[in-house]
This record gives sequence, C-alpha cells and structure tokens, in this order.
Amino acid sequence: MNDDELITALRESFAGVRATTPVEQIVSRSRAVRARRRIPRVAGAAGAAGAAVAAIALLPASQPAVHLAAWTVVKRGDGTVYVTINELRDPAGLQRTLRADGVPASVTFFGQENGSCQRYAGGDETA
Amino acid sequence: MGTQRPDFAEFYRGSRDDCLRTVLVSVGNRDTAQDLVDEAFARACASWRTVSRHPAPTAWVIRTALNANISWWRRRRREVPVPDPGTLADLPAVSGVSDSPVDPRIMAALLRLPARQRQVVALRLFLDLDTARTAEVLGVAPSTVKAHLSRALATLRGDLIPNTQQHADPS
Repeated sequence: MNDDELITALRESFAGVRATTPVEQIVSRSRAVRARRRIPRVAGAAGAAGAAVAAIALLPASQPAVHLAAWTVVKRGDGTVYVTINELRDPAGLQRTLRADGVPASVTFFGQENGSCQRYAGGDETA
Repeated sequence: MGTQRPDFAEFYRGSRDDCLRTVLVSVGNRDTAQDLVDEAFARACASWRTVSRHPAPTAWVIRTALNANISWWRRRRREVPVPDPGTLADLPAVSGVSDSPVDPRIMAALLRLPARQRQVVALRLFLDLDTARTAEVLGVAPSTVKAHLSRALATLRGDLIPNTQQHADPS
C-alpha cells in the first residue's frame, strides 16, 4: 500500500463523520462573536444546587425562547439571557442551548457527567 | 450585507464536514471538535467580508479552530484530555470516539501520533492542502511539514497494514 492508497483508506474511514449544526445556528452564534468584540459582558452568572438564574447581557439576537421541562432558557430582546433550572437534568442540553444563544457557558451538575463540559471554544467562561 | 449570507452558507455547507474531520483528528474528541468548528465558522461568518477574500477560507477556519483550542488550553493551564488510544482499540467498530462512526482501530492509530503529526495528516487527508499551505496553517516550515507527514504515514502504515493483511489472509 503506497501513501496515496493509505490516505484514501484513512479518508474513507471518516466518511460517516458529518457536522450537523445548522447554518442558522452558526449565523446566530456569529452575532454573539460580534457582540463579544464590541461590548464587554456586563453581568455574570449565579448558580445554586437546586436552582440557578444566569443573566448575561449580549447584543440583541432575535432567538425564540426554548422551554424544556428540566430547565428554561429565555433570551429577551435586549440580549439578556435568563436560565431557570427546575431539575438537575441534561446538563449537556442546557450547555448546548446556552452556547447556541452565544453564552460561553460550561454546565455540570453534581453527580452527572457532561462529556461536552470540558471547554468552550471562544471567549471567557462565565458559568 | 444582504448578499454575503448566501455565500457564507454555501461555503459552510460545502466545507463543514471536512473541517470537522480535520479538527476531530487533531483534538481526538467529537464534542470538542464540533464546538471548535462551530466557533471557528461563527468567527468566519462574523468576518465574512475578510475571510471570503482569504486564498483558502477553509484553512482559515481550521487555524481558527486550532487556535481556539490552544487559547482555551492556555487559560485553563491543564491538559486537554484525549481518549486513551489503548482503550479505543478495544471498542466496538461502529461507535468509535464519542459516537463518531470511525473505525476505532484507525482512530487509535491516529491518536498515537504526536499532535503535530496528527495535524499535518489531517490537513492533508481532508483538506488536501499542499505543503506550503499546511506549513502556513500550522505556522511551521515546509520542510517540517514534509518530515511530519513522512513519519506519520510510516507509523500509520506500520500500525494498520498488518491488521489489514490478517483480515485478508486468516492463515
């Protein structure tokens, strides 16, 4: 097997790896990137064992509110994001939702693994 | 402003899979790779007027993703965990690393490579970058790229080909 054949075999083995993030979510996240460049964050996040509310001011980015049973993420017109946690469940989903709204958050609950909690690719971590 | 969005969307849809594969090989974790690539594309979108004029926008995205990974690592001052190649090789063939559908034997062989060799291989594999462009993305000399690629391919051949031959000839 020469180099080209080896490269072809390796390339084919990754054919099933596909990015699934919709372009709309990337464009939405890009608004947060612009916001990070222009305006410093003015509020941090607070958390408690049973419930937590985080308020982070960002530039307006019209995102509809997401309502789930365990927690609620609401992004308001002024760019403020409110997080209400009713049940310590699905930290990865909460983290994903916050990041989609441009909040550089890493979420973990005691006693629950969140494999994607290791890091946030851009900006400083807040929660 | 109104005309740049379709251009970016087209670029994103056309290159996101290869960018994800490249970064996945570099960092070894599917979730981390996805997050880095999303962030890099978001930055590209935010600066699309500039990035779209770059001679290789895909390379720009990869470099941004890898730089974001390094920045995070520096902030945290600790090692970014990479799956243990020894345990990967024992996983069932389909699940692979963090649900990525890559043969664990191949992923393990790639993860056994030093980080820089992995990056060079990934850029060659999925972006088909030439030596000069790869050197530019990684910020190293072209001769270094050639040396890394040569060593990496030799190592991979040694790791993977004996297994392939065993499958072909059970005796």
